[in-house]
Amino acid sequence: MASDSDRRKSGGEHLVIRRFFTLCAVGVLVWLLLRIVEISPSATPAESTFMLGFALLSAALLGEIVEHLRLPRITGYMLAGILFGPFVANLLSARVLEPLSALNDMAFAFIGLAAGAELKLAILKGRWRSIVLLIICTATVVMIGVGGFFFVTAQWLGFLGDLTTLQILAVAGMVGVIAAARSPSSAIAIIAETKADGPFSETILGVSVAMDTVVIGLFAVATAVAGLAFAPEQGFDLVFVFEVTGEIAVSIALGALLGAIMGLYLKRKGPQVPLVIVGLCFLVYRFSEIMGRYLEETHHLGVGLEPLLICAAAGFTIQNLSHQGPRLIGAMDRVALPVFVVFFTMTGARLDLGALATSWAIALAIAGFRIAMIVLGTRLATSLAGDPKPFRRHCWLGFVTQAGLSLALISQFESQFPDWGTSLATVLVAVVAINQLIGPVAFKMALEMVGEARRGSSPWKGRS
Amino acid sequence: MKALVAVIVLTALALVGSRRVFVPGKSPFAVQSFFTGAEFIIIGVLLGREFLNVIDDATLDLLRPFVCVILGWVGFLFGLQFDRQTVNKLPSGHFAVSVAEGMITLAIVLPVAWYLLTRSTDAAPDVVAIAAVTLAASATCTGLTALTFIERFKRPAPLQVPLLLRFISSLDPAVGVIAAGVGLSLFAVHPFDAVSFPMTLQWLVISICLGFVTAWIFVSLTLTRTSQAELTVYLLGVIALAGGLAFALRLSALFVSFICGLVVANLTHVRSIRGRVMTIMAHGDRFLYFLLLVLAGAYWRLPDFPLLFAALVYVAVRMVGKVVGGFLSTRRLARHHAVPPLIGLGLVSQGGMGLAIIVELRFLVDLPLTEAVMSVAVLAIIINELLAPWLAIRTAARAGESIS
Repeated sequence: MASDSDRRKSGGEHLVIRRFFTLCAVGVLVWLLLRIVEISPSATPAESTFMLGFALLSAALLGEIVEHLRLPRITGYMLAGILFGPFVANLLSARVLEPLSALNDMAFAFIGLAAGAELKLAILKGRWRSIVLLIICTATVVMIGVGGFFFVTAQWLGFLGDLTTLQILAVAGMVGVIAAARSPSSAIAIIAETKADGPFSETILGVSVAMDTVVIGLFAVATAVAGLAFAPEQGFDLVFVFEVTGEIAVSIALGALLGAIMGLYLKRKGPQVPLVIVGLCFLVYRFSEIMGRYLEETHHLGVGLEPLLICAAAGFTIQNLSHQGPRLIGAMDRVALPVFVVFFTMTGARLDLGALATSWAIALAIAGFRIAMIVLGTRLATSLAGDPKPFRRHCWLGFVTQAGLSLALISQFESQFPDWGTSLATVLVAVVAINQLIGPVAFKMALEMVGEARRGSSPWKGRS
Repeated sequence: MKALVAVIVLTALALVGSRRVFVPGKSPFAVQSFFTGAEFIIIGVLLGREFLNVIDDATLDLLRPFVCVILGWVGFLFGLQFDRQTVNKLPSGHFAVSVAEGMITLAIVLPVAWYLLTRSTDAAPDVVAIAAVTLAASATCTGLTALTFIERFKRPAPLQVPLLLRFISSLDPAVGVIAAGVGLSLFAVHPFDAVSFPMTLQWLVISICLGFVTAWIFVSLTLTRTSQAELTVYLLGVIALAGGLAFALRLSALFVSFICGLVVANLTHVRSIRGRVMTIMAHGDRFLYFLLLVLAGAYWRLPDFPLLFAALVYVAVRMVGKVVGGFLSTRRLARHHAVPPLIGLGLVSQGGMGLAIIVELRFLVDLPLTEAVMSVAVLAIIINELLAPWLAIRTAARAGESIS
């Protein structure tokens, strides 16, 4: 007689097979339709909408399938983006994705809000020593280690051949800073998926969010230093560093204000709350974008507001300075899955596989060295903080992922040094792609190993 | 900056609308009768291209994919209401009355619209045809907002007539959605004449098939245990797929998603999750409805005198259609119940579905004629919405319902 676990296993396999066939059927249907019917270019918004529907369905299905392989769902979403993206099936082409960029922006800000809302001061207070040490140690070790590795290997990168040693050192500094960046969006998605709750997940999330702020500041300093190396006659651009510091401070202040206002709004109950939150996230992103453009055009300031920081500060304020934290999280939970599906599918579709194909060897080497530095940095920090053994052993697994911020810094870097920046950006984008693929898997594993992931209680799992 | 302001204003308006409208207030009837939802169209007009230009063409382009989803959402939700069990529970004959009333209105408005459009424009015959069908399809739809006034301004009394009006208002938009779907399948971009009729007919079959296929996808996804979060993703996915596919093929998103919702509602094993789907959809329903009203206003062009006149003619012909349709369709019912002969005057409100049909045409066929049709229809809808509460109250009063 079959045991319960056998029956469960066979039920799971049955579900995977069923989901797989549904996925194939949906894929074939869309593929056939696109082969049979010629969609006029003027119908792009409609095509984008139906591709959005297809992406939602296929990513959700792949997410469920990979979950049975004990991988995080966001890996499935990204896999869907890769499979149907421009480098494989080309269903989610750049043309199709363009009208949906607003949706992606909104999702990015939403994830920031969720990350802030997950940071509970009461827990963080007890973990502050670990968090500060992790930020200092991993940032320092990764920056110096990866920067040093890049400096040593730069001679094999042909496109940097014309640079002086000092200039290569400056570039290595910037590369080191980019390597220190994390992905709070992936962290929050994995925490939400596994319903992880405890000091480990709080610490990883806290460090990931704070590290983004630190990296933005450090990148400003590295850029100013690079300016000194490439154009010594202009001197050290201290103003730029102050501008970036101001950008961070204003973003946090705005976020706190937004959080206070939202806290008041959340006192009112209503079915519209999740939609308002989504709308608000979209507005924050657009506001930051427009302000950045305005400052650039009118005052020639190359800085803007940081939507992720604004939303994270707002979420943090609501969670810790009002009584509406649980209501915010409850409302966000209702729309979180569609937002995550859209965001990570688009992330997958935008992963530059071309860059990965052309520079996989050097990218793999940098990614591997970065991981080694993260292990070293986290071991050092957790030992100094006196964290328990499982924490010390698995902490590094939570810091592998890289995403939005790294890509934004890379593109800034690329526009600053157009001659050779594009070639280097290709390598760095490939590194981010590798980290983005293995990071979520590593973090989920870590949560399971430290016992904070609630097995079988994923809020997105089917229920009877 | 303009796009940002537009989006802020749109969100705020939709939010205020979803919270404030349809909530019984203490203000007198004359004041309340102005707030039926038409005011959001007027606000949209003020914010749109004709006046403040806050919601400009760039913003409208940005929102195109969302409009596609909204129309799919509206169609799916409407189709979902037609499950066998609910329809069977309707009082005897009410379903037939609703369908007959809608079809009679369609039969009256369509030839008049076709004749007037042919006489007044030099547009291609297929464009005239689709414009006329859309105007007639929109005319068949009845909104529920005016009926809430009967409930708000009455003493407790038997609700025979208001109930009948409510049934008709809930069901007759189906005639409009089907007519618009058939019209768009036959005429839009596919030149229509006697020779090519079988060729154009294939688009109607494709429309129906798309509805069935997307419904099948949804059903097959929900066969296994599904959480509310997963259901939301599947629902949004299927709605976007159905609406987007229809629009990409220049077919009616409303019709395709209506078929999809209809099929989903009537499959036995899905009935258990129908309530859960309804709950999800209820969370966004009002918000999206008011967004649609404001957007329709923003799309509106200031009509010149002939178009203003055309709008008045449209209102009048539609009213005749409703009165005749209401009278003829309820004759059999009137043998056993007290149904006033002018019951059609209680069906003047054109409602969200009527507007959605017009917005869809504007989206699919971007021509001067369809822009003019939109101007006429939106103006007519505003007039109808302002008249509807008065006429609905009067109809109920004449039927012997006590009005305070």
